[in-house]
Amino acid sequence: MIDPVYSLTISVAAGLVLLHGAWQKWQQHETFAAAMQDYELIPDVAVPSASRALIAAETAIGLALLWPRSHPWALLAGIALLAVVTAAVVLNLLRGRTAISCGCGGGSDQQISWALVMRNGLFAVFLGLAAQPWLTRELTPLDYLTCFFGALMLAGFYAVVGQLLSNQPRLDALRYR
Amino acid sequence: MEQALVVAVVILAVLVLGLVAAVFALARQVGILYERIAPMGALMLDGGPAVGAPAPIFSLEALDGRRVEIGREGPRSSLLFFLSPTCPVCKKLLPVLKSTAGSEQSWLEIVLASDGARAAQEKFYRQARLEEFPYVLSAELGLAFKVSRLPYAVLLDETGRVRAKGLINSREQLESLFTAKDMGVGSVQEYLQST
Repeated sequence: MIDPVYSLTISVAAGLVLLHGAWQKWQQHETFAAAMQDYELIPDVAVPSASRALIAAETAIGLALLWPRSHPWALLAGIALLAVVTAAVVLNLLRGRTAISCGCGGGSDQQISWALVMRNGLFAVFLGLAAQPWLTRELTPLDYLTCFFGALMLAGFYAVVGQLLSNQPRLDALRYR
Repeated sequence: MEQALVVAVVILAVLVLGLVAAVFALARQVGILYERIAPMGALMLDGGPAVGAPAPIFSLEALDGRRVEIGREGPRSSLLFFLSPTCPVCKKLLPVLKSTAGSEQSWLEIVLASDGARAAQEKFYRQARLEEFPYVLSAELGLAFKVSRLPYAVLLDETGRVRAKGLINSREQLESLFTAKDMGVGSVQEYLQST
């Protein structure tokens, strides 16, 4: 059992993160499709439709996460989506192909790494926590305030981690020259 | 009491959001800084014909049947761009190459060079829509220029001499080859040593 405020805060933050990611991928669809092709996991002919399907799934789950009634299915769907994309990253890391773009946010030049896998793992753990059954209690205006600000902060921290991950290869490039 | 709590939460939340925004901005600035202080020019690798030396002469047939002469005198300079279908950075640079081919066409011809299985190369050539470029397959060409890492480019002038060369990861590095030719220096290392 979990207090609904924790669950709602995480859901809304995750919804914002997924919608933002889907928006960026849609904006730069060609770059995203090229990144997907570089993963070399699905045949090239399937890439355009698979990339659209992934963006559509991300959008749908993102919207569902913002809607409290979809608890806990939206959270479980979010974990499933994360599992699929993280498996793709892990397979390529195991094949030793670390120099490919992760395609996380359209044109960002974040590369795949174990740190990215850890970030996604942590994201999934948060979603799992939020998917617990809710304690029944009346929500007050203060609770909604906590959800609103808490979700913005979590989404902000997610953006910071993403930025630091995309800085890392640039720093490495300087170090070994 | 409730009112006091609400006010406290709002103030704290605004402060923390401000801090998150500040940390994000700093992280971005650090990223931009890393990029700005990276060497701008193309990094020259040892080996291959030196800058100023005549290039080895090749006469090759491109994938589309065109004849490509390398190292001979011609009306235009030529840029040999070594790439491979399996190199992600090469793919990232293809749009740059296409726009460069357009803007520099008065003095420059771009030749793409690779080696390996012909079927995979032809598929890549078609998919990436590279028809405007001659695309040659020759392991000997790569060996002659001692290409060990991709994407690698060599700029030859009208007389067939090597003017600049280096590992290319960005538009800036590609353009640094043209600047090197204009300024008469061979690479970023040479320029840094001379100043």
